[in-house]
Parts: sequence; structure tokens; C-alpha cells
Amino acid sequence: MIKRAYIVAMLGFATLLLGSATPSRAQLPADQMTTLALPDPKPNWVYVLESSPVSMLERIWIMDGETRKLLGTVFGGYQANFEISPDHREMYTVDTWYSRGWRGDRNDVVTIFDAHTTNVIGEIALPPKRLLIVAKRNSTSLTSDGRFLLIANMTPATSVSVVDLKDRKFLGEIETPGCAQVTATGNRQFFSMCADGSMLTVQFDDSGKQTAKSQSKPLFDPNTDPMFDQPAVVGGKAYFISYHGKVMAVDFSGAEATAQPLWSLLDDKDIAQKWRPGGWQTVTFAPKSGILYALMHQGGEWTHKQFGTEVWAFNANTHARVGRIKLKTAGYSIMVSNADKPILFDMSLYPSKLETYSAPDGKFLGVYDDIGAPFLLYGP
Amino acid sequence: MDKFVESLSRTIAQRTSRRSFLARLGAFILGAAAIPLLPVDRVARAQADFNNFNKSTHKNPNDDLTCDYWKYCAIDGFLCTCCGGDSHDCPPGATPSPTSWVGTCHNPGDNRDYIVSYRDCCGKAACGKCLCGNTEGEMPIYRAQLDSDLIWCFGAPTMVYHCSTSEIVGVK
Repeated sequence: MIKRAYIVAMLGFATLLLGSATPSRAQLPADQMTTLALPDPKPNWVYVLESSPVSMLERIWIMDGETRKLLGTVFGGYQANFEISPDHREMYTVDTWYSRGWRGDRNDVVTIFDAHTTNVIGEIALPPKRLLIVAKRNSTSLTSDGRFLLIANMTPATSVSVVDLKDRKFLGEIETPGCAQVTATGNRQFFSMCADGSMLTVQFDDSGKQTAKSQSKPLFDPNTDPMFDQPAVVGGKAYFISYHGKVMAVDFSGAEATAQPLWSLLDDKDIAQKWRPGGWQTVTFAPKSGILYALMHQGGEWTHKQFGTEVWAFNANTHARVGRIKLKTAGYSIMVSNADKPILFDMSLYPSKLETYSAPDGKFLGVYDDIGAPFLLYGP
Repeated sequence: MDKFVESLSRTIAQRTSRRSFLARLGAFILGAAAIPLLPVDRVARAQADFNNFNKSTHKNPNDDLTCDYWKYCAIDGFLCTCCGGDSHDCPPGATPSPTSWVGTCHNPGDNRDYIVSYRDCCGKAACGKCLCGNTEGEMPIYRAQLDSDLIWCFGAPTMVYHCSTSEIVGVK
């Protein structure tokens, strides 16, 4: 305390000296230091999840996509996931913490943040079994009404933890044998992808108990053409794309998942030129225009994580290609915003960049450099 | 294939004393009974060509300090060889995970395809050196046995990931 008083006094003295040495101009008022808060998010904001290469702790960069300005940050735990409540009042990280940093006892928790102040306002303890994987969108999921947070577990037995965000408590687990991840497709429903290419649809009640469970027939063949495990999800519908460029739209609004006929991102010329989708977050959908965007590169077999040099835009109803955006920097993840004038975000891990393009015409708008080691993009 | 599965099971059994873990692994495998246990019967056809991680300028399949080392055809993470370990040994203080995912790599030295087990070293913070992202035969999480993005420290004392190795399990 003495030290602090001394510093304050010395600063005051320095201010006096500086004030007397400068010519007589209107003096600037003394600064009043405060803490800023975030406004309500705009449709063109983007939340970038970044993972430290050494600690594997995560940081969320809250960016204004139009100005490409960093507005604030949220910090999460080891291999954390991130969610934003539909009413934009809260944000959540689903964390694993070890009591002594990289060692000690494991604690899994949901951390609740005020979405405006970014202050921690609550915590919900979880069984220490959440799926630990390089961050994927569907390791966790919020129900459409924002009431329940669903968390995929893997020990390696698979299940889903159900957390009641209203009552701030962990309710229990729902077993999902042979199926992994979790994506909510309504208020009390989620799906998981299964090893044989089928989809498991689960319904549950307000107490977190499963009320119905239905596994579809295999909808695709993982042996010949695996679907990427991070589809673009809009309401009760999910658009999956495959290693070889097929699109599968799946309707999850009923008790059992049903797939529409496959269609291809590629024509014969594209196939001859070895175009295929790849990256991390490889597909995104703009509900207002009905346009599906896929991150594309030229490569052979097993190049499904190769960075994409172009983003291709398709009318999801007619399957016609309506745009082809050449990226300045090859991207690892893409996302299109749900705004009237949508922005296509292209994120690269190496070099670390977040680029913005107008969508679907693909005009380059700008870049934000050095955004850590980013993996995922979220919209508000 | 059966021989390989038997050998892998034996390896796991030898390397873990945690019955509860084996029970959980059993549940996982039973849950996935609709699929072949270890569907590695497809030889990864393509050579590991372009990717954006730390590749050497001149590919050298014999240099185990680079992502181009033949045994690393689908390795994903920090190479233990760059962290005080070896291609199949953990650095000091890290614990080999009893579980792993598997792949098939072609050795140009003897022109054979080898089944390799990508075993993580666990119990220390990430090494951070020589990041590789090879993907031959790598599958999404719904085929967990072939997924490289998981923290493969199941059955190890902790789920803290340090680095990755590639261990020859047998000839395909």
C-alpha cells in the first residue's frame, strides 16, 4: 500500500513538472480509468477460438467482422469449448482444469460469463470425462432455447452430459454407445454421428432424462467416403460434406434422421483437377440466401485437412455453383455470418490470419494478422 | 488382421493395470460393434503430399526429426523425437499411453506396409516442437480408433498431452 501511494504521489509530481514545462495550451483533462463492457453483438461479429500450442488452454477472440477490431477476450481451460446463449446474455466455456496447471487433480466445469462484461458469473461442476479433442464445434451444443448445455464425453465410452443452465446444475448423462459428439437440433433433442455412418437421434425431458432414442440406418459409407464430422447446422437440418466432395443434407426434425439424396460439389472437370473439400471447419451455410459454402483445395487421397485455396458457393436447393472465391491466404476454417450483408470469414492457422470477404461475391475486405493458433469460428 | 488385433489387445493388457479402464474400453468397443474393430485394411494410397505443417524442404523419409519420416505418415501432434524422446519412446518424465489410434505406413526402405500405432506420451504439458499434421487413413471422431485429433491418453495417469510417437506393431 505504501509503495502504491508513493507511485501515485510521484506520478502527480511528474504531471506538475510536465504541466509547468509545456507552453500554455488548454490542458487535457485527467483521464478517468474505467473498464469497458461489450455492447450487444452485431450479426457480423465473429468469435475465434484459439488454442495455445503449449498449455493447450484456450482463448476466444471477440472480433467485429466489419472493422476487424478486437473487442475483447474470454479465456478457457484445457481443450475448452465455447458457446453463446441465444439471447446473447451469457457465454460459456466448457473447461478441463488440472489443479496444478499441467498436473494434479482433473476438474471439468462449465464456466458462465456475462456476455457484456465478460466477467465470470457462475460455474457448474461436471463429471471429469468430457471429450478432450482439438476443439470442434460439436463437442458441446446448446439447445435452441438456451436452457440446456449438452457436452460430449469420451472415456473412451461415449455419452452426453446434460446441464441445466437455468437451475445451474448438472442433471446427468445419456449413453450414446458407438456414436460420438453432440449437436442440438431443437429444444430437447440432439444427434450424434455413429461409426457405421448412421445418426443417433435422442430426445430428453426437462430433468435431462432420455425419453426417446432412435438410430437411423447408415446414411453414408465411412469406408468409401467419410463425411466430415463438423456439418453446417441450421435448426433441425445439417449439411454434411464428404472427403470426396459429396453433400448430404440430413433432416433431424423427426424422431429419426433422414437423409436427402447425395449431390456433388464437383463436376467432371473439378474431379480431373483433383478438387476436394478440406480443412477444419470446412462447410458453412447462410440461411438467408440458402447458399452453402465449402472450403476447397486441389489434392489427392487423404488430404482432408489440407488448407483450402478457394471457397465455393452453392445454391443448396438447385445445387448450382454460384460463386468461386479465391482466397488470399489458404484457410483452415471458414464461416459465413448471418447478416443482411454477410461476411465470409477465412481463418488460417499458418500464417495466423483472419480474412474477410463479402459473400457470395467474394470481394476481399481485409485481414487481421496474428490471431494465435485459431481453430474455430462462431457467430453470435 | 486377427493376429494384429490380438497383439494390440495383448499390448494394451500388458500396459495397463486399470481394470476399470479396460471395462470402459470394452464398453466403447462393444458400442462400436457394428463396424470392423480396426478397419485398417485399406492401404493409404497417396504419399503424404502437401500440407501446411513443418515439412522439410527436401523430403527425407529416413529423418525422424521431420514430419516426412515414413513411420509418421499419419502422425498428428508434436514429434517426441524433437522433445527428448524417440520415434517410439517418450521423453523423460512422460508416460506412454496404453491406448492409441492406428494407421498403415509404407516404408520405402524395404517396400513393405507396416501397421503402426500412434501412441501419445502423456503427463506433461505439450512439448510444442515439430508439429506435424499428416493424415493418411485418418478418419473423423465417429471412427475414434482412426482419429488423430483426440487426446489419446486414455488409461494413462492423466489426460495431459505431451507429444506423439509412432510404434511399429506389425507388417501388413
